[in-house]
Amino acid sequence: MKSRRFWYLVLVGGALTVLAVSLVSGCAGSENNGTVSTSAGQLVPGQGSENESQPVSDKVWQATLALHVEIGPSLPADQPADMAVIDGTMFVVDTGHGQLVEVTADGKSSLVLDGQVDPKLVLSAPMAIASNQGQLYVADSGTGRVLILAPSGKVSQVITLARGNSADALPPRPIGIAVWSDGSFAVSDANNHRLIKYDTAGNLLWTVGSGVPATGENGFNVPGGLALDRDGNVYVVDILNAQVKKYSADGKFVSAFGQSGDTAGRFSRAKAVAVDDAGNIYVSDSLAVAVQVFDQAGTYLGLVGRKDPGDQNSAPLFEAPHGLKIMDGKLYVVDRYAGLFVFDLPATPQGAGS
Amino acid sequence: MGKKIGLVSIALIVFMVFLMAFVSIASAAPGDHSNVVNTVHNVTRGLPGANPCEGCHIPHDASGAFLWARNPHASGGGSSVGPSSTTAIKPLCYSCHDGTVAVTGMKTVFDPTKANHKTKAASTLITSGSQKGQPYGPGRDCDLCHNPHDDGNTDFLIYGRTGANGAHVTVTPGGNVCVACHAGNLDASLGGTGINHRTHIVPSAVSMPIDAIWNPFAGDYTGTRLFDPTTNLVSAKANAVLACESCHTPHGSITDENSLNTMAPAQLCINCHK
Ligand code: HEC
Ligand code: HEC
Ligand code: HEC
Ligand code: HEC
Ligand code: HEC
Ligand code: HEC
Repeated sequence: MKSRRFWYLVLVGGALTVLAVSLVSGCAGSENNGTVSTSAGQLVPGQGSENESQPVSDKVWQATLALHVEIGPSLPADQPADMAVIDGTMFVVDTGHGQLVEVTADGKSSLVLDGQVDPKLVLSAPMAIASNQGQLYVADSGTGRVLILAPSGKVSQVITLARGNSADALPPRPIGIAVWSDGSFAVSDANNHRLIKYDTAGNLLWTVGSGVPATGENGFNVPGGLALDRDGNVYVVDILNAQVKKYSADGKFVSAFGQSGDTAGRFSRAKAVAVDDAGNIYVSDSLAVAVQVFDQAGTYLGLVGRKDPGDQNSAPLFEAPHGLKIMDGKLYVVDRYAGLFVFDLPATPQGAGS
Repeated sequence: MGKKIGLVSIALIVFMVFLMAFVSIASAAPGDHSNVVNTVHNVTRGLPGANPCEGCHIPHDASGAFLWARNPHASGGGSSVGPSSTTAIKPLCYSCHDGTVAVTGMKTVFDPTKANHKTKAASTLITSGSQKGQPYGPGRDCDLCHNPHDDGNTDFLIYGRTGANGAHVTVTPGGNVCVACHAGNLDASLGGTGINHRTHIVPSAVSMPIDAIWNPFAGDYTGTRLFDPTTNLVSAKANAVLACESCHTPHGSITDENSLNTMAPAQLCINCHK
C-alpha cells in the first residue's frame, strides 16, 4: 500500500520528466519534429495517410520562365527589392545603391535613374514601387517618404509620410506600397506595424494597426508587401504573423489566411504579394525560396520557382524572392540576389473556381 | 504512524528530485537559447501566447512535404533542395535583416560584392584562443561569431568584448571575438609566422600598439598621425581604438584578401601614418 503510493509518485515524477524533455526538444525544433496540427480545410500536401489531399506534385502552377536578368551589367543593382512595369519597361528598385534601374523589356540594357537625372531623386533603402497612370510611386524606407516620378526620372512630388498616429514613436518606415487609380496610395509601415492610406497630396486617409506588434484582423507584426486586386481591395503580407490580410479600399477587414510553417502552403518568411485577374494570390517567400499561389479562400494551389516545375523539391530558381507584379499575363519577380524573373502565365486563368 | 510519514517523505523527496530534474532540464537544457526571450530577436514579444522561438525555428507540420529549402541548422539536412549558401543560417538571418524586419546588416553584412569571412573544413580544430580544440566547421557561418539566442555581449556576439574602455572589439586575448580563434595570429595553422601578426599588432601586450595601453584620443603618440575621431576607420562608435577592426572587417571585404577593410593595404596604413 505504502510502497504503491511511493511508486505512484515515482511514476508521476518520471512522466513529468519525460514531458519536460520532450517539451524542451520540441521547442528547439532541431529535429523538425514539431507538431503543428493541420487546420481543417487547408490543403497540405499529404505523405501517406489516405484521407489526405492530393500529393503536392499534382499541384503544378503553370508559369513559363520567359526572361531572367541576373545582377550584372544589365541590372547593376545591389539587393533590389521590387519593380514596377510601364509598357513592358521594368523599373527596378535598387535598394542597396538607393536608385532605380530601368531595364528594357528584352532585359538586354538598362539605365540608372538617380540624383543625376533629377536632384530630387535621392533615395535611402527604397523597398517598394508601384505605378499608376504612367507615374511611379517609390516607398523610400530610409527616409519615410514617397516619391512620385515620371519614367524619365523627373520627380513631381516628394511626400514625407505623416505618422499613422501622432503617438507613434517613430516616423513610418514604408516597405510596401500600392496605388489606386485615383492616385491615392497605401504604405505598410514596418516601424509602427500599420497599413496607412494617403490621398495624392499625402493627407492621411485611414490607418489599420495599433502602433505596436499585434495579431488579429486589424493587427500586424511587420507588414510587408502590398498589392491591389481588380476591385481595389488591398492585400498585406503580415510577415511575422505569417498571414496575408485583405482590406477594402476604405480600410475594412475582409479576410485573412496563412500559417507559419515550412511545408507547401505555409509561410516561412512571406515578403510580397500580387493578385491576378482571376483573384489568385501570389506570395513570395524568401525562406521557402518560392512564390506560392493561393485562391481567395487561402487554399494552396501550387508554386513558382523550381527548376523542374513539377517537382517542388527540385533546385530553386530563386535565392531570396521579394517584389512581385502581375501585368499583361506576366508574373514579374524581383530577387534580392538572383535578379529579375519574368514568367508567362497561361491565357486560360488557372485556379479560378477550384 | 511515524514510519508511514517517513515513507511518504522519502517518496516526496524522490518526487522532489524528479521535480528538480524537471525544472533543471526545462531551464538548463535549452541553455542560453532561452535568453533570446528578452532580446530583440524575440520578435513576438508582447503577443499573447506567442512562441519566442518560432521567429527562426519555423514550425514543421509533420504531415506536409518539406518546403523550407534552407534548414537553419549548421548540420543541414531535412530538405532535398540544395541550399546555395554553405549553410542555411545566412539566408535565415537575411530573411529578417534584409530591410524588412530588421534594418541593420543589409548594407554591412549582406553586400554581395563582399566575400564572407573564411572558415575551415570540419576536421580542422582551432589551435589557440578560448575556442581551442573546437572544430571550425563545416559550414559554420554567421554562428562563427554570433549566437542569435544570446545578446549578453551585445551584437549577439559569442565572445565578450572585455578590453579596456569597454571598447568595441578590443585586443585582449581571450576576450576578443577575433582573438578567440586567431590569437593575434600567433596561430601558425592560419598561415601566421607563429610569432607575430604580419603587421605590428602584437596582442601579448608587449609591443605596441595595443588598445589596452594605447589611446588614440590621448595623443600619447607624437609623430604618428592618429585617428580623426569623427571619421576614423573603426566605426563611429565611441571609444574606437586600434583593434582588429581598424584594418579588418568581420563581414568580409571587397578585396577578398585578408578581410581588409580597404581595397589597398597601402591606403590602410596611410589612414593612420600620414
Ligand atoms: C534569431 C533567430 C533564432 C531564434 C529567435 C531562436 N533560435 Fe534557436 N537557433 C537559431 C539558429 C540559426 C540555430 C542554428 C545554430 C547552429 O546550428 O549553429 C539555432 C539552433 C538551436 C538549437 C540547436 C542547438 C544549437 O545551438 O545549435 C536549439 C536547441 C535552439 N536553437 C533552441 C531555441 C529556443 C528554445 C528558442 C526560443 C526560446 C530559439 N532557439 C530561438 C536561431 C534562432
Ligand atoms: C525573425 C527576424 C530575425 C532573424 C531571423 C534574425 N534577426 Fe537579427 N535582429 C532582428 C531584429 C528585429 C533586430 C533589431 C535591430 C534592427 O531592427 O535592425 C536584430 C538585431 C540583430 C543584431 C544586433 C544589431 C543591432 O543593431 O542591434 C545582430 C548582430 C543580429 N541581429 C544578428 C543576427 C544573426 C546572425 C541572425 C541569423 C542567425 C539573425 N540576426 C536573424 C531580427 C532578426
Ligand atoms: C568573424 C566574425 C563574424 C562573422 C563570421 C559574422 N559577424 Fe556579424 N558582427 C561581428 C562583429 C565583431 C560585429 C560588431 C562589430 C561591428 O559593428 O561591425 C558584428 C555585427 C553584426 C551586425 C550588426 C551590424 C550593424 O551594421 O550594426 C549584424 C546584423 C551582423 N553582424 C550579422 C551577421 C550575419 C548575418 C553574419 C553571417 C552572414 C555575420 N554577422 C557573420 C562579427 C562577425
Ligand atoms: C570561430 C573562429 C574564428 C573567429 C571568431 C574569427 N575568425 Fe577569422 N578566420 C577563421 C578561419 C577558420 C579562417 C580561415 C583560415 C584559412 O583559411 O586559412 C579565418 C581567416 C581570417 C582572415 C584571413 C583570411 C582571409 O583571406 O580572409 C582574417 C583577416 C580574419 N580571419 C580576420 C578575423 C577577424 C578580424 C575576426 C574578428 C572580427 C575573426 N577573424 C574572427 C576563424 C575565425
Ligand atoms: C594595422 C592594421 C591591422 C590591424 C590592426 C590588424 N591587422 Fe590583421 N592584417 C593586416 C594586414 C595588412 C594583413 C595582410 C598581411 C599580408 O598580406 O601579409 C593582415 C592579415 C591578417 C590575417 C591573415 C593571416 C596573415 O598573417 O596573413 C589574420 C588572420 C589577421 N590579420 C588577423 C588579425 C587580428 C585577429 C587582428 C586583431 C588582433 C588584426 N589582424 C589586426 C592588418 C592589420
Ligand atoms: C589604426 C591606426 C593604424 C593603422 C591603420 C596602421 N598603424 Fe602602424 N602604428 C599605429 C600606431 C598607433 C603605432 C605606434 C605609434 C608609433 O610608433 O608611431 C604604429 C606603429 C607602426 C610602426 C612602428 C613599428 C613598431 O612596432 O614599433 C610601423 C612600422 C607601422 N606602424 C606600420 C604600419 C603598416 C605597414 C600599416 C599598414 C598595414 C600600419 N602601420 C597601419 C597605428 C596604425
